[in-house]
Amino acid sequence: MEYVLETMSLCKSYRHFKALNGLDMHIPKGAIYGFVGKNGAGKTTLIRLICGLQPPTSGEFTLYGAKNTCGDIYKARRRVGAVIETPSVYLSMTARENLKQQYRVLGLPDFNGIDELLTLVGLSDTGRKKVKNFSLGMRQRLGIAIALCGDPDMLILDEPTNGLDPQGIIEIRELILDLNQKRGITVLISSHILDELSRLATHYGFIDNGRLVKEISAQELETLCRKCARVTVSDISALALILDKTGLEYKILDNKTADIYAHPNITKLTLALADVGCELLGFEERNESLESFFISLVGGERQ
Amino acid sequence: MIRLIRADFSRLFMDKIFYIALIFNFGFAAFIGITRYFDSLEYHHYINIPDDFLFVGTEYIGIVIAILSAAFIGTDYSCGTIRNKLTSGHRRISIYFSELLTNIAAAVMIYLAFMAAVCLLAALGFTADFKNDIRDIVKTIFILIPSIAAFAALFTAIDLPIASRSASLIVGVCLALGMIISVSALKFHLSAEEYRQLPVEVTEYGNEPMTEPQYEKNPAYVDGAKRKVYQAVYDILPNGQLLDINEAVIYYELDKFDGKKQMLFAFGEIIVFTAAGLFIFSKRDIR
Repeated sequence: MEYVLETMSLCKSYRHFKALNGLDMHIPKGAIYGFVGKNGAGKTTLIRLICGLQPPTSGEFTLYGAKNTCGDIYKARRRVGAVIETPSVYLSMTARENLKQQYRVLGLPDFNGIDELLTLVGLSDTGRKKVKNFSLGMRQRLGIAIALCGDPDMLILDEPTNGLDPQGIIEIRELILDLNQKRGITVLISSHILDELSRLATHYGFIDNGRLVKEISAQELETLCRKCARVTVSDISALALILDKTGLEYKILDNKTADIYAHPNITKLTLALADVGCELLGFEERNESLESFFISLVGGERQ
Repeated sequence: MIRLIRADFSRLFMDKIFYIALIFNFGFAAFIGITRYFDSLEYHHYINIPDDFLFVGTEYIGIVIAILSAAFIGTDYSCGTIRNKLTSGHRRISIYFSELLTNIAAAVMIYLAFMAAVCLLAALGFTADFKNDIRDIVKTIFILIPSIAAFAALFTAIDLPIASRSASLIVGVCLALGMIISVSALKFHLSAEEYRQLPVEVTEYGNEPMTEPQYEKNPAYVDGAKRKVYQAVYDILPNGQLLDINEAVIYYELDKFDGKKQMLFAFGEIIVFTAAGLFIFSKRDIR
């Protein structure tokens, strides 16, 4: 698999506090990588390191094949657009002036494409309105537009839906999906709104205390979080025999418990089990969400 | 770096504070020139507007540069746009030099606005033309630029590592004021006569006695190592250099003025301030 970003034992310390503690991460090309973690887990720190705002204390990372210690990293960063925490926009300028400014920073030869960007983020009708008079959602969208200047191959979004109203959240989500699907932009998106992330991400990285505790694709996660009925019986082989006959998909967990990936008729199942002398000791419907998966990974402390 | 310079200059020309500083300097020069001109008519003393006022603004230019630099560089931090520059693959050294060059250009333009007002007054007939040789004046302007640039280098070296607009403003203005006060105090001691005449007692008829005047050692006078230190600090401070330029023009002593030494100090300061600022900025964690 081709990775856009790989980190190897990346560490970042602030005095005695380790914000990143040997983080290993792999972002495949074309993915929407959901970066999940509690507040203070190290999500923003990692993003700052990748974007060159701060140097790592130890470890290294490669961005588009360029090591962070090599001069090529500056070239690689030109392929990245980012919105880190708050949108980086000049408040005394209009949306168009902000985009022009970013075009100059990038050294783009002309201002073609600004109208398209403004339309893409829904800010084409802001005219001479200064950014200081924009709503938070508008600023967030302008931040994304600035990150998109120069057609980056990768977009890094740090908590992009923070402070947005439901409509704003939907707009940002649709924009990200659109950019990923139509333009093939790889997206790293950090968030602790897991429900929102679950609608977007193709891959997940779960961070806790500066370490990546799990990296998983959305497909794998779906399999892990599939709806199932967990049954506990006195004779697991009897249960397996019955389930094989009915053609239901199942997974045996131990000599008394199994997960059935369907919604079985409990009466029929109980009667069938009774016929072969097996007792049904327990029945529990399970529907593990991204949230519960995350909690099971990092422990039950509140965020 | 060219891309950054282009971006920073276009932002400078959109910056309200820059235009306020330009207008303030132009207006202030016009104000002091006109008021002093009318004072001279009223009290019948001679003033020569171009020579007397052309470099007067250098006395407070440090404060203006401190404010402008804090506002310009601080905006990149308060708006977070410095992150856009770094994320776009620019090196910190490029960001530093781009901000420095923009600051220098802004400072020079602001001082040119002051000089433009003085020259305009002279052109409008407020007193005579330059009494100093115009070629010397032009040469002095070129000597002045590195000293102004030294101020810009100092405040860039403060503002980029501090990374906060309000903190930069407070530190910059306090430092600029402190430098003005220090230079005044140093000048007072350095220009003090070694001996001063004791007050003369007059007779009951108001006549001075027919005795030789009595002198005592002037406590304000400094000599030896202390004088050398005072002189060195005075020479190093950009205000000291600018004050020397101003006095040389006002007292028509440009022929005695050591422009090379002045420029050497100024360029030395630019290098030292920039090296220190760049070192701290390159190590700084940006949020």
